[in-house]
Amino acid sequence: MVIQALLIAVIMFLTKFLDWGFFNIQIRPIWIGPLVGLALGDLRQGILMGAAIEAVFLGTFSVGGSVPSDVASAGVFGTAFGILLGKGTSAAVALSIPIGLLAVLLFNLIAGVFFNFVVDFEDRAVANHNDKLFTATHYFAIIFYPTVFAIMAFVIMMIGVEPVRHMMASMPPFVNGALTAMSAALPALGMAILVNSMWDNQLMAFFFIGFIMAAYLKLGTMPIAVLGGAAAVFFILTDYKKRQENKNRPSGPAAGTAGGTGSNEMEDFLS
Amino acid sequence: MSTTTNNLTKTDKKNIHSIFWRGFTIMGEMTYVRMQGPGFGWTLMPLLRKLYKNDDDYYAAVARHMQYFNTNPVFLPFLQGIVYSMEKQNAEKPMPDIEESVQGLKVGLMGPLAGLGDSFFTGTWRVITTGIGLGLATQGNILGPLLFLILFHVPYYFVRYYGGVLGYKVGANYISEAQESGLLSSITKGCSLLGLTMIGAMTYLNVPLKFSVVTKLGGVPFNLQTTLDGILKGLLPLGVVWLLIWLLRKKKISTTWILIGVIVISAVLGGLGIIK
Repeated sequence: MVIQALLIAVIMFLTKFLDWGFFNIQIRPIWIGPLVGLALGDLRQGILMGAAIEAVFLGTFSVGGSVPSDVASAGVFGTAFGILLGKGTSAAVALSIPIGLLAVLLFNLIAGVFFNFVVDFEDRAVANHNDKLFTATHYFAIIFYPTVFAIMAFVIMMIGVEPVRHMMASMPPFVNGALTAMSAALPALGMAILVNSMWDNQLMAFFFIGFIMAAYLKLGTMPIAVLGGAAAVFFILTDYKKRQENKNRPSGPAAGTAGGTGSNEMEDFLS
Repeated sequence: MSTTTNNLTKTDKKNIHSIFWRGFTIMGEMTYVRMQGPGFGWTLMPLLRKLYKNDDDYYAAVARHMQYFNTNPVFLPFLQGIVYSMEKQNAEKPMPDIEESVQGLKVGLMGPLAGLGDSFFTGTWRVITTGIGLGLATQGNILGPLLFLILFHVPYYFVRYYGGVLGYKVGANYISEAQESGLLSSITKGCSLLGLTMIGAMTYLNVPLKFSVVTKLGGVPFNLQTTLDGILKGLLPLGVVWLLIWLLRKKKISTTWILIGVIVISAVLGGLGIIK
């Protein structure tokens, strides 16, 4: 167990380090799951659970620095518990949700509270003309953030598995049906959040085109992406040309400043 | 800097590599107050040191780049390149209002660039590559996750690196031109088109929600799911997704409450054996 807990802690460290420390890689359950599976000796289950958790967290991503749920923790612990408890993907998904939400608390403690003091320290280092101290503090922060998460992962793996196993074992059978339904329904929220973030009246038809391409034409995601990409390129070129024409029109006869304000109005109108 | 683009010298390339690599650490001490600001200052330090021989000028420049800053990191080297060209001008011939102008430029550009980066890379390209990866991963194929990692990140790092080259070479004029001509808005909309197509497809492919209830209606066995499939395949996931969109858009209910609602309702219906 100690070895497994250590491996999970290393994976946790790696995800957080590659996310904010260095490289800014997309930290997603789709590849965290297999890593955890590899560490716990069941790669196939890791892939399957990672994919199931990914589908739920597809709409969860950080926009402008606010983090709705800690996707890395959800992926790591969801898969780890799913494999260790042997309860399948629906249990992995069901556990990943509260874990993701709880881990945000730890995240907020670091980024919302602790790092403010680090930044203040850096401000003073720069004010005192000490750029070496600034660099040292910067490196400290880069290592500190993943380390805290790694320690949390180690502790949870050491003391958390048995209580959760006990809890799952003492559950009545209808809970299984509830967990399965939950893991099937939750990806819908991810889709809804994504649609909401990209909402555009002019373009909503394409949602249904994509839906029918998958449901009735039985196309995979790759051909759908290629078709959608072609439509997008066509749209961009047409839309840009239209903008150019709209802009050039008013500045034709009445040259100078009048034309300038005209095109501005047009732009305001279009935007 | 002249308006014509120059070929890059050896020093230029070294500078671009410096901001590219150091830029990866910009989130190091991310806070909700100054966001990536302090990290941004750190990434520019060696370049500023080269520009400003005088200690006071150098530390003033570092401090001014530690102010509030936040963007999608994919366009970070591009912005760093622009800022560098501006600081270089200032080092050669001090500008009276460098503080305001460089901050104004950063704040002015970080918004549209973050919008473009979020809508293309985080919103569209991530969804597409995840969709392709999930297709294989849900069958337990390791190629799924690998394909996601490669497909997403190769263009990501390409744009990140060459954005730096572009920003360094052409400076600030380019992006404001693209914004003014409407090209940026057109591209953003095009990305949404592609993203929405993919989400439509994934609503069918990745929301496996089904009715499991089977009863008898007037002695005839009645399977709700089969009946619904006859009307429109995937009607239940489609309906649920649109119900949630409606709650998000029209009712302005927060995602946390919707999440709780989805968990509770699906768990109850699943426990009763109505859906699976």
